[in-house]
Amino acid sequence: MPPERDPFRLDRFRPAIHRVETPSYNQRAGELRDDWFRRLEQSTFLTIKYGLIDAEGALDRISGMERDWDSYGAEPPGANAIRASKEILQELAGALILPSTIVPSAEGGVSIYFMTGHRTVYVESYNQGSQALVMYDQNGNTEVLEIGRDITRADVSGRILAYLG
Amino acid sequence: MVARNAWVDSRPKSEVNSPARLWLPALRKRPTGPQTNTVGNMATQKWMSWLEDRHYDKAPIKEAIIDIQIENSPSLTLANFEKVEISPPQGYTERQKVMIGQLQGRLERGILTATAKQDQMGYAFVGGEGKHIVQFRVNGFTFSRLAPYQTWEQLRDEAKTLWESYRQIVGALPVVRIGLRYVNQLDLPLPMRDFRDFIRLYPEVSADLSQQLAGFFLQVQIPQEDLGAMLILNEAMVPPSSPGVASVVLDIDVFKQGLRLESDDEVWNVLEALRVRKNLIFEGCITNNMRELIS
Repeated sequence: MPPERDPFRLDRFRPAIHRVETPSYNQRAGELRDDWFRRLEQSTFLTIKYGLIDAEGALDRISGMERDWDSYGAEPPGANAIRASKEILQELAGALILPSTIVPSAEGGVSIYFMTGHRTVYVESYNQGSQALVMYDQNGNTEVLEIGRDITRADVSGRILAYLG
Repeated sequence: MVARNAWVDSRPKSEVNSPARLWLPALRKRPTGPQTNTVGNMATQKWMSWLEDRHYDKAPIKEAIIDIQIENSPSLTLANFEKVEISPPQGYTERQKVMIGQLQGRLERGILTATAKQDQMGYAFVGGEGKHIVQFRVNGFTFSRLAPYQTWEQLRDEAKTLWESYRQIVGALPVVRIGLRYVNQLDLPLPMRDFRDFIRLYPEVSADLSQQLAGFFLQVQIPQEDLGAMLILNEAMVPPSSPGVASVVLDIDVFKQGLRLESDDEVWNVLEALRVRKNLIFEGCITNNMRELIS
């Protein structure tokens, strides 16, 4: 049977989908979405729970990157860096801290960013196993601490909270 | 995971053989004989008093939330909250902004556009060694207790103390909405034969569909007519908290709105009633197997 005569072809239903995309449909969809977001925001437990799911999803996505992903010859994030990043995410979630974004590092590893209006912190986990805590502000003041040498892992969350205010 | 639909298996043979029939769960015949999943045939009063004393050593409560909203007033602004200090012994020192976000979609001539805006609504304070979070907003007050949950009395008394601080800022504005929300995470041991061995509210998967279930999200809204309240119950599978379990979030939100309460005593009386109802709802959602797991 030619596709245009197939009564079950998917595009046959397209006009119906367009018909329900009315302002009131969008309004109702928006109300449901807003209600769910309000429920998430009201619950710290759920905010952290779903935030961690998102963060671990981001880590899974970047773990599949290939060499030269930035076209400057960068190494992809290795299994060590991914594992260390997951551990630090779990620890920070325990202190009610969720990341703003997670990106691969051009140095070979993973960077987890935490941002407020004027200040930024990131935890960089390198493929070879070391970790650094980097803090900087809009005025160019920067502080770099090696985790395990300059600061213990247990103190990282407190330091992030203190710096970001 | 396999979530077998054992209820379907228990249907009479004549019903199993008619796959096209329409099922209306509300019309299902109630089971007769001893009810193993409720607390037997306890009289209502005995059942209520049993609930009053019911305490689970391993309560699955991940967060308990008391939410009280007040009438909007143009005289109450963010500036009223900027000098708030909640002093020890609670030690609510960490202060964060509470934002409210709004995403608006508009459809014009077939083109959908979206705009987003964020407004600050108040402040949140973290105390109790990171287990207590209180929000002071221009439209209300929210107090959260994270796990480990202790007792209702501790939750209520802590909330009362903080509410009094909030009252000093907002004055005598009437309360328009009161909510009590408990977010539970039920860890069901694997291998699991059927959800209904542990929970009594779950999506009914037709026997004509595959019984493999990778996830679900369910919301029911049930008026609590005798209380003039509403229950919104969300239930969802979430990533397991440890290997060997399947985790289900049971989020019970019972609230009264459209109020205009000027007395704080009335507010706390409503919360007491909501708490009893919340307990009934929780008990109504779990089985004796689940009770054993959390006792």
